Amino acid sequence: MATVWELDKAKVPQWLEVLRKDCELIAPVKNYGEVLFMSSPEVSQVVLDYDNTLVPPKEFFLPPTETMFSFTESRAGFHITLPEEAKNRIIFGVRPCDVNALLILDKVFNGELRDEYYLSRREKTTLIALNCNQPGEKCFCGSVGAGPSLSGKFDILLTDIGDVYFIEVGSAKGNELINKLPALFREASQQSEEKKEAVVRQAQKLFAKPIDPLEVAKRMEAFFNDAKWTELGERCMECGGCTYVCPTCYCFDVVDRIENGKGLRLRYWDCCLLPGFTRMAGGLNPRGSKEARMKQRFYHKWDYFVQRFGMLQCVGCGRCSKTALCSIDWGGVFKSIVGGS
Amino acid sequence: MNNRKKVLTTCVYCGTGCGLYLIVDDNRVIGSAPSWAHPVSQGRLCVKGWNAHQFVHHPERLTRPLIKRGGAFVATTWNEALDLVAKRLSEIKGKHGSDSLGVLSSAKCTNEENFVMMKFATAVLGTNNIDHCARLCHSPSVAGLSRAFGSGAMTNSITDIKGANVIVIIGSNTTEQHPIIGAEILKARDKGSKLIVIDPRKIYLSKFADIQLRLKPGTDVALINGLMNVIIGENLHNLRFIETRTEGFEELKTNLQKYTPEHVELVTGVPADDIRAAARLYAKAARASIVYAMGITQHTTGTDNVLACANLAMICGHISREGSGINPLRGQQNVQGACDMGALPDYYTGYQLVADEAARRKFELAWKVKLPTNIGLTLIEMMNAARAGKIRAMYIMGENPMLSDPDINHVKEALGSLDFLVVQDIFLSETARLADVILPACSFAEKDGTFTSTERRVQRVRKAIDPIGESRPDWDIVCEVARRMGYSLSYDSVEAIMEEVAALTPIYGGIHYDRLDNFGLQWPCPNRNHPGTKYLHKDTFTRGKGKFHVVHYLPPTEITNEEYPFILTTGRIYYQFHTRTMTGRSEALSRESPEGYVEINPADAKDLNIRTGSEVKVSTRRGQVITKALVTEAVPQKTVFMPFHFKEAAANILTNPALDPVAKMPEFKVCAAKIERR
Repeated sequence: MATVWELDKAKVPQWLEVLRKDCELIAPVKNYGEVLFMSSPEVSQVVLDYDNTLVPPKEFFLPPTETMFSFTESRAGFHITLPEEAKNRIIFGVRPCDVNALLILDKVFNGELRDEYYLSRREKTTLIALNCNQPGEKCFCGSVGAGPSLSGKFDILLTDIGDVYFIEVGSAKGNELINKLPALFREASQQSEEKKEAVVRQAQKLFAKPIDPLEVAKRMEAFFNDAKWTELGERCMECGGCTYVCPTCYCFDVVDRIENGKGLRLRYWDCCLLPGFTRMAGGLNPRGSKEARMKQRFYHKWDYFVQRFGMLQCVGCGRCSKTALCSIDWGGVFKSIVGGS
Repeated sequence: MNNRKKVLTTCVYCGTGCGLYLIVDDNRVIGSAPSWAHPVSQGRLCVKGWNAHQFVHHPERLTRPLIKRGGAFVATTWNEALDLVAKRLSEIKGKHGSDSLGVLSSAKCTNEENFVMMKFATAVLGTNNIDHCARLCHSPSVAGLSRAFGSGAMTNSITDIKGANVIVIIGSNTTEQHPIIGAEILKARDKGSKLIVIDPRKIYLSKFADIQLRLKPGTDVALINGLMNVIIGENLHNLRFIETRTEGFEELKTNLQKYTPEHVELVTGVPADDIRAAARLYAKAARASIVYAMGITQHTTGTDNVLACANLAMICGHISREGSGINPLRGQQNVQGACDMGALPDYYTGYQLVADEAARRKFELAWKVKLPTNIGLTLIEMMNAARAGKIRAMYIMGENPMLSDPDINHVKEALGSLDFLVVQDIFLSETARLADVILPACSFAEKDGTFTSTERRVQRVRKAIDPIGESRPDWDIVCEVARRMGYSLSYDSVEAIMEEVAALTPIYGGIHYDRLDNFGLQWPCPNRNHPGTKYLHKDTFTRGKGKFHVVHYLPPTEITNEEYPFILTTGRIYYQFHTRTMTGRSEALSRESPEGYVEINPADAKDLNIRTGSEVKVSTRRGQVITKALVTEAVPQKTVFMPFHFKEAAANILTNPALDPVAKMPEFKVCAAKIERR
């Protein structure tokens, strides 16, 4: 069976109708002038000609807040209730940077300690990725090797080649989604395959060549005492936005709340740019300055993570530059440190 | 199925009016995220906005009506609670007259709710004793700018600030209190705009400022007069603008003569040459904008300070254009709207005067009831009247004067001497603890309506989840009380309320819900076809000609002496909001700023043997609080700063309730204090 197909763009709604029948479909939807990932949208609302969403699909794997378990105490003892198990989901139209971001999060949550909350959602979710033909204004995925196109490690990958999507299937989960209504698809022609290659090549040309992560780490180390960090640190307004919208930031804080006689253990997105992140009892803060915190964030992403996992913890999506109040162009900073255009 | 929902609404904290998505799973708000398409937020939020959802499901939310019995609160039914409120208010009105009743409306509630509350006070209770915390933030702006221009709001739009070549930031810690506006100022500076920061404290923007004038707290009029003295002396004023658009210049000019830079240096502590440099920079700019906040208004000379700013802008002609204007930044998400809706003792909606007979008749006709003609009491005056036994009952909606008003001990006595107090809120605030009846209200996540932001943008609030517990929207509760008092106050929807507002309010005449989906409209918007107004006073001022007012420097009411050698100034900080009713119940924000403190200069700290973290006693003539010291260069010598958010170290036990004679604004920003190490 072929693993490359093509689908007429006009038939996408039909496919989506089929996909949403037996599971939760999440797709990019236009809402008040911007595109967001929405759960169970009307098929007619789904848009695929979009740059990227401000909040990445990370929110569906590591939600902004989640209840880890609830607990009650009685004479019989302490009783813990786990949340409902994750259900099957499809996320449609995920950009290559965000697929790569999940592969980075997998390293963290599927390491020595397994985070079952994250992993069960990952397992139950099928990703239908969508290659980028045109980079967004702040994108630098090409420089970090996380886009604009994907190769391998996807369930299904779509590439826009005009009136049709060129479709590659990369997993058994992906294959199932084609098999739900095979009549929609036709085997990809040689010509389509060539078109797809041309589109991918063209998109890649718009970016600098990717740099070896180890080389990035090395250059970061040489930059450690650069005065530029003071200047960058001074600009931070501690909004937290850069971490909240980052598809690879995974830090969370855990709190307990007692609600209606029942305890809830919650975890929510945390942010290393906020002083309380590292402040210790008694008030001492090992990262007491904005400069120190900003350095920590980017050294973690562009140096320490490489040393630990051999890959950058950054996919060059540029969301941090879009949302942060400091309006620092992080893609520009990356390029100024490691070189490249 | 989880079915994640994302509901576009408006942030509930400061007055910037950011577009915010509430992220909802199974009727639970789990996150907040900025709107990318929103003209102001543009994909950005501050840390409070990013965590705006965290208090919504807090276990301390009020979920049932409570009645105080034998000193303790007992849960009851809505019927019993509403009946009791209606009965007691009616009784007291019958016995002591309408003006024995007082109402505090809320800058935290929607326009629709403030309108209903205003209608309730005037049409049902029969009193104009209605006010809200705008009294404590921008009443001098409303008073001052109305006198100078005829309209007391931000003259420009937020994104317009970028168009200024010179931006004067005076008494506004913009990046902390209005972070998105602060970010716009930083962007402007990146693009080449010059910044003049006028503030006793070093703030974030100080590092980016071309000039900072660190004046002694409370000397703003002297400093601004000094700037004008230089501008006129060096012939940098805009004669054409002055001649065509203003009146009263000659008198102003004569009265500025004594404010030479050298004289002003003696009063303000700002070097004369810095005054000259700032004056030249501002006057010579092609376009210049003044941005101010509580540092200007929270003085007994608040109205004078505002008038001085207006004078400064007008002599240079830096107003009435894109990028040029005077921009009071409003501190609460709907404080502009609460004022617009007439939750004030002297105005109906849209600044139509109670004293204007034609306006009053219009409302009487619409509401089919005789309205009171006398101007009501302001917030602080109501507290004084309560203590004097003249106000016997109060209805407080979503306000917490027990932490936000000056001289809290006095407020406590005042509220304690009432015959009846009803408080409507989302949490058991310090004020609610003193109530006879507490009515549980919905938070912004649970209701529909509109907020009006600091740039006069009327925009939608959208319901994201069902009400928590038995809580109800504020407007609905007030309508229920009104009906029980025999007045038929009833609306099918919040949209119907706005239709009534539009019909009665010229500046809101074109505000209809079906027009608000595209991120709202900026008033004045007089009719359905009007696109809204980006900046005010374009060809003519609202009052016709801009009016210069002569204002002279007056020292703060309290000056330092041997016993109280420090100037205590107060304000907000980035991670907390007002009385922490909401931010105090956000784990993320509370972690960042868990407790109160007092900022003290290193030199003073050394003299007193104080280090960061030392326990200190701060006292004034009104009381004392124990708090921790934060030693920092941010405050000048002999000046200390305290945030007012924390009930455990309540700065407002210390502050001076002396009032601005025009706006009745208390002097939060200056009083004399003593610091002792414990």
